Amino acid sequence: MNYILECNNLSKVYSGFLALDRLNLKIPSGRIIGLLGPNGSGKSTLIKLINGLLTATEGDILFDSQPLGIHSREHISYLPDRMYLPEWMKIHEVFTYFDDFYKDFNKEKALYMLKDLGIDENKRLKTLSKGTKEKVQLILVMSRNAKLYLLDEPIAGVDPAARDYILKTIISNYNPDASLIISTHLISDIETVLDDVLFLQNGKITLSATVDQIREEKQKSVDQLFREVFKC
Amino acid sequence: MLGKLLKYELKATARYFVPLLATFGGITLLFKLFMMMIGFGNDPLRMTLSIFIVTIYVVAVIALYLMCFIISFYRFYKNFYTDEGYLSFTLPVSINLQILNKLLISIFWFVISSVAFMFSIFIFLAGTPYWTDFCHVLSLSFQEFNKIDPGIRFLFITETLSSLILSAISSPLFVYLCITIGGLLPNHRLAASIGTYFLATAALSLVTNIFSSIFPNFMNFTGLEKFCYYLLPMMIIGSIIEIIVSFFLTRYLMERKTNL
Repeated sequence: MNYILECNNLSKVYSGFLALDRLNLKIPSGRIIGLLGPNGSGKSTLIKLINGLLTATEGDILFDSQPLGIHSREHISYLPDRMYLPEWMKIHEVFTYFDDFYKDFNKEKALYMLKDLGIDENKRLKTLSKGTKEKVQLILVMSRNAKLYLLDEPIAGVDPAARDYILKTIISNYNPDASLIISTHLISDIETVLDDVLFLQNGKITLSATVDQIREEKQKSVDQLFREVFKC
Repeated sequence: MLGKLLKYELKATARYFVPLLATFGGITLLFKLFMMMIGFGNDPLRMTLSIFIVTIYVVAVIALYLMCFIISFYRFYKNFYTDEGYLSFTLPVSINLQILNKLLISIFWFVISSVAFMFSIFIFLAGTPYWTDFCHVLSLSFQEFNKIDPGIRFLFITETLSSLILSAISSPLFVYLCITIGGLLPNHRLAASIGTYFLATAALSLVTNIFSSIFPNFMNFTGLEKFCYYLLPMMIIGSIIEIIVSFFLTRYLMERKTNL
């Protein structure tokens, strides 16, 4: 099988704290994967390592069978868990910025989605509310025809109505040949869209299964299983 | 890709530099107007006011260059070691181009600020009695310079220009290296970057002092010849070493040790 992403013996230590512990992972194309785990389990660390924002203490990552580099950055569409765009820019300027740097960015699609939400493209990012900024970031990320989408907590901190919109945007806009990894601990909201789940605990993958397997074999929803596994 | 990076960096920095240069131009014109209103003479009041205005003007010039340095420092820090780093580090662009982009724009604004400074000197002095003195000093210096052996003259001009260009390249790169070292820490990156800069500057100064004490002849030049044969070449070599070390170490740390 051809994997879009492979992590081999991946470890990350932050000042004595083991955030990822010899993690092995293979992600095929065309899947929607939930990266699930409690706070501090290593979800963001893993996503940042795949994006080259962190340096692994040990192990390696292959994207499309190649080491991380310009090729991976060309084809990975990443939504961080924070506002990362220059706030002085206007929305249409950020769209042009993405259009300039990412060959796979579809500006028309982004403008359509923006119009659909009734957001004025001439507004500066710093004048937008937190929720609107998150939607603009999501539009940018989902308007790329990427091979891998990495969404770090895309629905944390927004109201339930916005969550629905965000999930709808993700599902209706991602490239079906690509894979999509969603990191979250709000499982009940995303469970219906997932193909596979990865449970991450103390930097290790404790469960890797399809959603159907969990439902059939364990007779539980992913949310129920998560609550059982990560019970305090 | 470099062209695109330059376009956005120019736009981002123009937000600071255009108002800064406009303010500097405004200050120059205002002081010029004050000087014209006060008039020129040797009475104590006029002399005091003139000295006051010239002092403030000198402070404005220092502030202009200081701001060039601070903006260059801040842009690199903000772009790579704050939340904006999540965008900068994930662009499909090599680290070489990212550093080159910042460097070229930094040099561009330094040159523009220097042109603005020279132009402001011209505005400040033109039409005043100081203008004649200024031209006289320039003319005398030029005549003296022309008396020097043409070979030494050529060497002096070439080496001085090379030294200036190289130091315009090495200074921002040295700053980028210090920010990158500060950026290795998980917290307090800005404070660590500033601390690294002061420590590294002190260390460089110590190395220069040790070097000049080992080779005292280098610093005890008496004429232009010794200046051209010893001091300027040493400065050029020093700048080249600083450029190479700063660039490659910054690139290595950004590529291999980034921890946002």
